[in-house]
Formats: sequence, C-alpha cells, structure tokens
Amino acid sequence: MTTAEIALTPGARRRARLRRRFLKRPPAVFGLVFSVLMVVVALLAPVLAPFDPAQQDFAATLQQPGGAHLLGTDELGRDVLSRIIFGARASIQVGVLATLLAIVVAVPLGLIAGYYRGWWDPIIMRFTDVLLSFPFLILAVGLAAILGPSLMNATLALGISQIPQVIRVMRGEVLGLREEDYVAAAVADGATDRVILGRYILPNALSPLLVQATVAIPIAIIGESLLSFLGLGVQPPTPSWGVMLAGAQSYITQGPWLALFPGLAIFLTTMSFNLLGDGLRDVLDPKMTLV
Amino acid sequence: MGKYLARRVGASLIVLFVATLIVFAGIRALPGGPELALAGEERDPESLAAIRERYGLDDPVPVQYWNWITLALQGDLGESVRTGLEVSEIIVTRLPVTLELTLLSILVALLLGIPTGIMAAVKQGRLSDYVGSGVALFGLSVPNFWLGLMLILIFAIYWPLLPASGYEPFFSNPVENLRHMIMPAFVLGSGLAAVVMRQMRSAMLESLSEDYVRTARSKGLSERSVIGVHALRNSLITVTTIVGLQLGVLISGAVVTEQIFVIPGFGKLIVEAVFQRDFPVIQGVILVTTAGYIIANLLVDLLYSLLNPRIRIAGDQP
Amino acid sequence: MSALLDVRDLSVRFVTEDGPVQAVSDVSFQLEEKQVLALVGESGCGKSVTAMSILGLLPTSADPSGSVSFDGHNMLGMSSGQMQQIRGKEISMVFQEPMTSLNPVFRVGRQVGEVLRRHEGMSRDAAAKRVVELFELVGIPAPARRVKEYPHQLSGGMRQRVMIAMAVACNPKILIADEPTTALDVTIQAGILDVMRDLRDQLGTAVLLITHDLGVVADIAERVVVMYAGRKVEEADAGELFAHPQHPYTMGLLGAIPRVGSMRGESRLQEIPGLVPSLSAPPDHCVFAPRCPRADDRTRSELPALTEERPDHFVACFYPGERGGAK
Repeated sequence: MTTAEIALTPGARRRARLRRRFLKRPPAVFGLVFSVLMVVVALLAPVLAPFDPAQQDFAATLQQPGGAHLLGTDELGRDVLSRIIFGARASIQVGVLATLLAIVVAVPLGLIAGYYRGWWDPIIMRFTDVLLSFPFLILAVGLAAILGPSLMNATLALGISQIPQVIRVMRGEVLGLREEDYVAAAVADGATDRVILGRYILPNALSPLLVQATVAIPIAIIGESLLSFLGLGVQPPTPSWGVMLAGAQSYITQGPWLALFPGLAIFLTTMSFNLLGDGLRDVLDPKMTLV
Repeated sequence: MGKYLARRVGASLIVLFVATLIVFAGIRALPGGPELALAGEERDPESLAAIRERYGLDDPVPVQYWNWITLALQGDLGESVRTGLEVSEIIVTRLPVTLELTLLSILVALLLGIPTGIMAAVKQGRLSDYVGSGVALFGLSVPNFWLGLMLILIFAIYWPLLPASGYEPFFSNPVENLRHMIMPAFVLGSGLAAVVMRQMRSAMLESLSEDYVRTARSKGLSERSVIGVHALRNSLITVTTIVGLQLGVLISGAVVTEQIFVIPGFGKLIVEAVFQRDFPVIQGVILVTTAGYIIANLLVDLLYSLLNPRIRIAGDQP
Repeated sequence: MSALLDVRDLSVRFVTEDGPVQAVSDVSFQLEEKQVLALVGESGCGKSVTAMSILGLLPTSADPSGSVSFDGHNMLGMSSGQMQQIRGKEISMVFQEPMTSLNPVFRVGRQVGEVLRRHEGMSRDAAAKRVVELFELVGIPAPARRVKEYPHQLSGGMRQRVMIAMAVACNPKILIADEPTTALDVTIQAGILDVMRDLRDQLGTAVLLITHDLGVVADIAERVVVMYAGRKVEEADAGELFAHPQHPYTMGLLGAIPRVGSMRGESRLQEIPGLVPSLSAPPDHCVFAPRCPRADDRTRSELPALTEERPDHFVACFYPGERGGAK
C-alpha cells in the first residue's frame, strides 16, 4: 500500500457515521423523502394523474376543489391535480438538467482553475465574473429574443447561470485539497495529474459538490417557474407550475385555488430540496457556507 | 487599499468589455440579421438600406462594434420599434422606479434578515433559532411571485388595505408611493431576507466560535458587547459579499414582481419588449442592466474593502 | 494560610454528538499569592479545560462540577454578571494563539483600552494614555505608534505582548497563561517569559501557567502540577520535581524511566508510546496504565489516590519512585 493510498481508506465507517447523523435529523429526512417522492411523481405522471391534463371540459370550468376534481378545475375545465402532477415533470426535468449542465461545465473548469492555477486561474475567474454579470433572467430574455422562448432555452439559461457558483465551490475545494500531504505523496510516487485529480482530489471534493447540487436544483426549479410564468419557458399547453400561476392571475378572485396549489407545489418541492441540502451540509461540514 | 481597488476596477472593466461583446454578438445573431431586427415595421428595401446606413451595418465588424459602443456611451441606444421613442428616454423614465423597488427591497431584507440572523445564532439550538431558521427556509423556498399573488389575495382583495397594483411617483405623493410599494418591496425582499438571515446566522456562529470572542469574554465584557461589537462587526463584513452576489437574483425577481404588481419599471419593460420583438429596447435594457450590475458589484467590493482592515491597510504579516 | 485560588475536585464533562467526554476528573490544587504554578501535560490531558473552567470560558456543551474558590466564593456557581466583574479585573487570561485571539477588525490600542474602560471606568483618552504606558511595560517598541495598528500589522511576539498588556491592564491578582509561548518562535519565547516574570515581580501577580513544554516550566515555574488524561498525577515544587520525579509519566516526560527487567539504564530520550486517551466517564483505574511499563492487574483495576511520597510532593501511583516500590 503506498503512502498515498492510506488517505483513501474506505470511508465505509465514515459513511455509516454520516448516515446515522443524517437520519437523526427529522427535517433532513423529510427533505430526502419528499424530494424523492417528487421525482417519482414526475416519472410516473401518466400513471398517477386522474385526468388528462390537457383535457378541457366546458361543463366543469372553475370548479372548487373537491369531489371528482380533488384540487378543482381551471377556466377551461382542466383538472388542476393532474396538471400539477404533470407540472412536476417540467420542474424536475429543468431542475435536474440545468444543474447537470452546470456541473458538467463547471467541475472541470473549477478543477483546472484550482489545481493548475498559473494563468488558467485568472482567465477562468474572469469568465466566471462575466457569467455572473448576466442574471439568469437576462440570459433567458436574450436567448428567447434570439431563439424564441422554449423550455430548452430556459434550461440553458438556468444552467449557465449556475455555473459560476459551482466553479467557485470546486475551485475552493481543490485549492485546499492540493495542499494535503497525500497529494504530495502521490506526486512523489510519480502519479500523473490525471490520476491525482481523478483518484485523490475529485472524490474528496464530492461532498461540497453534492451539497451545492441539492441547492442548485431548487434554484433552478424556482427559476423555471419564474420563466414559465413570464412566458419565457415552458410554452402552453404543456403544463408547468409557472404557466399555471400565470393563468391563475386573471382568475384570482373567481378561483383562488388556481393560484394556491401550483405555488404550494413549487414551495414544497423547493423546500424539501433545501432541507435535504441543509441536512447534508450539517452532517458533512457545518461550516460550509452556501449561497 | 489602492492596489486592491485598482485591481478590482481593472477586472470590472474587462468584464464589462466582454459583456458588451456578448451583447453585441447576440444582436448580430438575431434571426434575419440585425437590420431586420432594428427595422421594426418598415421592411421595404429602402428602409432597410437606411437602417444599414444609420447603424453602419456594412462596415467591418470591429468598426460596427466601435460605433455601437460609442453611440451607446453617448446615450444613443436607438429607437423603440414599437413606439418610436428614444430607447434611452424610455429607460430613463423607467429606471428610477425599478431602482426604488430594488433599494426598498434591500432595505427590507437587511432590516428583517440581520436581527433575526443574530438572534438565531445567539440562541442556537433553542426555539428562536428553529423558528427563525424555519421562517428563513420558508422565505427561501417560496417563489416570490406566488407570494405576491397570495399577498394580493389577502391584503388587496379579502382585506382591502393596500392597492393591488399601480405606482405613484415618490416625489409627487410619498404616502401613496409607499402604499403601492410595500407589498412589492416585501415580496422582492423576502427571498433576499432569507438569504441574509441564514448568512448572518452562519457568520455569527462562526464569529462567536472564534478565539477573539473568547478573549473578549475573558476581559469581562458584557455579552451584549461581545456579541454586538466584537462578533457582529466581523459577521457584517462577511455578509456584505453575500449581498453583492445576490444582486443578480434580485434583478430577476424585480422583473416578475413588476409584472405582478403592474409597476411601470425596467423589468416590465423588458418582458414587454421580448414579446413585442422590440430589439433596440431589449438590447438597451440588457446593456444597461449588465453594466449597472457590474458597477453595483464594484461598489460592494469597495464597501467590503473599506470595512475590512486587512485589505484597507496592508500589514507586515498577511 | 488560605490560598488565593482553591480548586477542589474539579471535574468537567462534555456532551458531544458522538457521546460524553470526560475531560477532567477530580483535579485539586491551590495557587498562592505571587506564586507561579505550572500545569503540565501533553495535548489533550485536560489542562486547558481546567484553566478555562476557572474563568467560566467553557462552551455550553461543558458540564463542570466541583469547586473553584476565589476570594471565598465558588466561581462555578456564579452568575454571568458576577463572572464579568472578575474576568479581566481580578483574574485574566492570555491565550495560545495571539493572531486569532485578537479581533482583526479593531485596533490593538482600542482592544486593550476596552478592559480599562470596562473595569476602571476610564474615559477614552485616559485609557489611551494608559495603554501606551502598558505597551511600554511589556516591552513593545514605539508604543505610541503601535496602539493605532491592527493585529495583522504586528508580529507574533508583539501580538502576544499586546495580549499580556491586555491581561495585566487592571492589575489582576491572577494571570492565567494558556500555552503563551507555544505558537511562537523559540527565539521569541524567552522574551515573553521574561515579560511575564518581570510583571510578576513588579505587580505581584500570581501566574497559573499551562504548558506542555518542560523547558518553560524549568524557566519560570515555582510549583508544578502534572496532569494526564484529565487527572492530576503528580504535584511538587519545580526543583523537587525535576530532581526526584515519582510518577512514571513524569519520568517519561523527563526522559529517564527505568524499565522493569531492563539491565541497562537508558539515558536517551525515551518516547512514551501511545496517545493520551479520551475518556467517556470518570476513570475507575489508573489512567496511565495502557502506556506504563509498570502496569499490572492492580493498576488496571484500581484508581490510585494521591499520596505524599516525599515532603510536600504528591503522587497518584501504586508504584512510584525510582525503584517502583509497591505500597
């Protein structure tokens, strides 16, 4: 066993301890359960929804919650519950894809900036600054202006706007990790950069990355609903919680439930991811500051 | 501090430059080319030729950029395709409204977030902490436009206290202005308040566990002094940077808040412009927003360097 | 003669997420006026925790018991208001890390002046003047300039002098110094110790010195208490301790432990193998047993009490002394 491998001693015991501490925290567990639940709902939407979300029924418009339509119907007679269930698809999809996009782009950049430094670091940092100067809405507006509004563009805009934060987190972790003794030992053993990054640095940088991801997803979900609300994201008739809220505005007095339930859905989903992220952070490293 | 500032200004200028390049590239990427975008209603060959002439669209690209940026710096951002008004004029009318909204919401966020964050840190693990943190989590998870709708429902419809929409200029009628702005400012500020509260709590917890707090206690200082002077000062510095980072989110939020409360600001302008395909306006707004954001961040950096003596005064030991 | 500070059966238990930790078990000692008493032991032996518990500076997860009597009152039972009267004025403390122990955002002059304004009610100007005098007292050159500087502008040695100035500003009866020289260069250490000794001579302050460095003990201490795993294992005057160490641990520290069964006397520095254990409950057998060459079934099942092996020289051991004679 080389000196460098000692540092990689399986965290099996550590993982068990972390798991135990996580399970001791009810809010975190709730967050985990509910987040998984929402993902399942999104995946199984066609099976779970009682009605076809696009099916209009002019005989049953603006019905109050209750009876056949558990959460009521909208102005076109569409079942609110089914639309909410299908809306989960758009939200979870955007949330996960945007975050994945950010991770795929930002992790390598953050690794390079933090590990190689040199002139890579300032360039990547300036790149980050440039990205930061475009709030995600402006990006979405720009993309919508050029390419037309769509869910794809919204995902792109949201993903891009998350990149700076992930770069920062990765870079910060790598800067610290490369000073560790086991890295120096690996270098002395003649390990190539790729090996060092892949075997020693990346696995140890995973925890803050994981926490950042669980924070990025709710940000993306809220972002998607915001963009859809403005008409820059999901295009009707595809149901999305944001689109539903946009429609609910005009009927706020006649059908307040139309505004209540989609918002509640966004809120609960977002909150559960946040609770999950908080729980993970508490267990992995309470001093981690998140934005 | 001079060196630090010079570096930050330099970096900001680079970023500003690259950002304008991106905006410029974006315009040229518009479907149909920039002249179609800038032409508006009149699409006949003569008008298009006139457009090309006016905006120098036959010149080589770098020259175009130069013309465009110099015109912009002089305040000429073109004319609205819809209304024919000068874009800069439109912006100047709308900008103060959004600025007021943004400033008010920052105020709300600080007034709500800082004290609750401090309290949660000091009473860590006890009820006030859980309640405070819970409320913060709520504020963080609630989509602010939904909050806006719910508040309108409560305060404007069921319980008519505040106007649901509209705007009154501050200088003509301060009371009405504030009545119209309370809900929007609260809605926009709530998300930021949640972030501020959490950051404040975390910064205070960190400060309170630092050695210098132990020293302060060992000197026999009152708890109020220890928390309110020694720990707080350090935490505020940390929180400043966070607020700077959140400005982008604030801008995004302002757009939708203005949409809901029908406030004639910048944000509403850009949404309208996108759907009306009013490219000069879109371009102008993006340019101004981006430049403004970069400058605002620079100001936050300046504030941070003023507050942090380690940066303000170079030392023997870093 | 009643002692200035009387610590009796002090125990400190910490409640952590991974279970309880017994940091200090039944420690007793006295500090006389103008005396320099050293608490010695490796990292983790509980000496810092003992010092912190005197001034009530332990975190909320700590659960101290026993008594710490100062001026006739038990400080462990005092309200925070009463403690605040004592801290900085009657008893003050100097910590190990001068860089982090000073607040980075305030000038050092102001931080020292704070004590004066709090306890002596001085005005800002009067305090400022006194601070300059104090800086001179602790040997900081160009004091009038230094008071206006921030901690990061000073070197480590100077920061520690500032800490000392802060601690003696109100002429306390006791100065607790927790590893005051550990974070400093060896060349600077001597200077700091000189400052502390001079102050003791000039101001008559008693010093409770916490350290793991026997060199520091030899330099400045008059009486020594040796701690291990939260328990007091030996106590004597400094000279007596160095000349006639009784506890195997002390002998190990001094590098002269005769091994049972060994024919040769080892004069090389011996490293004591193993690490200081972390206890989760008060010990029921000799805490040093796992590492002691004299350990046997008795030491592994019974807790040795403190006995006076030599005049005014106490040990907690079943086989103390050079020959390890059984009791």
